[in-house]
Amino acid sequence: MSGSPDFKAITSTAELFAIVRLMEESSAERYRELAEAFEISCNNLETAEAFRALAEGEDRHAAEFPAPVGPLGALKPWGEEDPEIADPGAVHYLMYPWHAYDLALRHEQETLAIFTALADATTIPEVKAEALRLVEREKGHMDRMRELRDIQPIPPDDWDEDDDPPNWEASD
Amino acid sequence: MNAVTYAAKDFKSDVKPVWCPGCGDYAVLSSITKAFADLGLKPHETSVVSGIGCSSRIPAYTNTYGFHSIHGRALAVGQGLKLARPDLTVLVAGGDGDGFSIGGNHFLHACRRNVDLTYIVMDNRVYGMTKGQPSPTTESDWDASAMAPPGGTGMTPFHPLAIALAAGANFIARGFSGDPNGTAEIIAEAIRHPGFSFVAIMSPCITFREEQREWKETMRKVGMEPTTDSAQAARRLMTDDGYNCGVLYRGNRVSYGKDKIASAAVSDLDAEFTL
Repeated sequence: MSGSPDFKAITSTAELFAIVRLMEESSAERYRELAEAFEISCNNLETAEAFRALAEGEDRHAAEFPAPVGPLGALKPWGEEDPEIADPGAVHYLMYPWHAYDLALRHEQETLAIFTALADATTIPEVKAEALRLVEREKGHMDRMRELRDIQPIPPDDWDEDDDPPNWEASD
Repeated sequence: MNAVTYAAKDFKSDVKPVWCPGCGDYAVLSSITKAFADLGLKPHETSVVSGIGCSSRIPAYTNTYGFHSIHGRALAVGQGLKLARPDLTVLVAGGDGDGFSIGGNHFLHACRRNVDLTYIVMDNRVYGMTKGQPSPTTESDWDASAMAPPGGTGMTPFHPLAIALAAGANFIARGFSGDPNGTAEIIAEAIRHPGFSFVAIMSPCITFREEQREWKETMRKVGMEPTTDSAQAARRLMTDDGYNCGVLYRGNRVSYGKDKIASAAVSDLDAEFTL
């Protein structure tokens, strides 16, 4: 379902900032949804707290960019899949905080790749300069995410084994 | 003075969903609220009606008029609402069990009747709320749960899009929760289209159908323009493997009710029953 990035759609730094802010806001919203799901539906409070912390981090990242004035057009230069937004299909109800930060690290890596590709592809000098700054910024985010992940307890090998699984077999 | 505009978040309520982490319905909720915002709708001019099931909890999570109705009867309630209040945008939502089994007959006749509303079915091919029984869209050999008969039901899965076309639906599309922006566009187009618009959204249940995580790899954009020719649409749908996403059919039937909405005053109606 993925579409190819359309880097030519970004014609100014203002558009780029608006897109990045939207990415960070959407990412915060998804992490907040996951935090609520882990708290309310799974009683997995540690992982819920990790996702909540990630959401607050994304809120701070979004605030680093100016809010666009006036309505935005259809800004979807990355195609249909936004690399910054956590894939809900990648979560598991038994996952640990370590997994939450590892998921966030993967998304930061994907975002770094997109900004790197933008810097390579754009022909607009101002956009290229900002894209390169965003690349450096994402590297910082990745370092921070790796630190946060690595201070978490490492999950046991059988972390996803459930003695009372949802789909129990007749022989259980 | 500019009119007030509403963002997607304005259409979300403060009630927190109780869906499982990773449930596709979160993304569908986001797609619905995004479509409402993109269409410039207002919460007090919009309504969400549902039946029973995991996905049918959605009216509680939207900040619009809403009705969490009874099992399989969401379409009856939604059609009644639209005919009584044609000024409202009516969106009916639910799951595959609610819509195609318990509500199967309502589904057929809602397609025929062609009231101007949008019906969204979040299809995960399982009854999730009741712990994993096969639904009408479940594969005939699925038996990964003790809730399913050994070897599966042996029944041919219901093909909701083909049945909707045969029954007279005026707009038919399929979305995927893993593509929330694309799904929002489809929902917006469905709402704009007159008559009964049916949107099946494949929404994985990763708790009871963990293998549906792979839908991210198997779902694809339909590789052709939607048709207005029902015969051509029928041919397409009969060869559809269930993984083609996009608008598949746009009909041009006139919506039911344009000439049937009661114009009499309530006092006149009262008078008819005076003894």
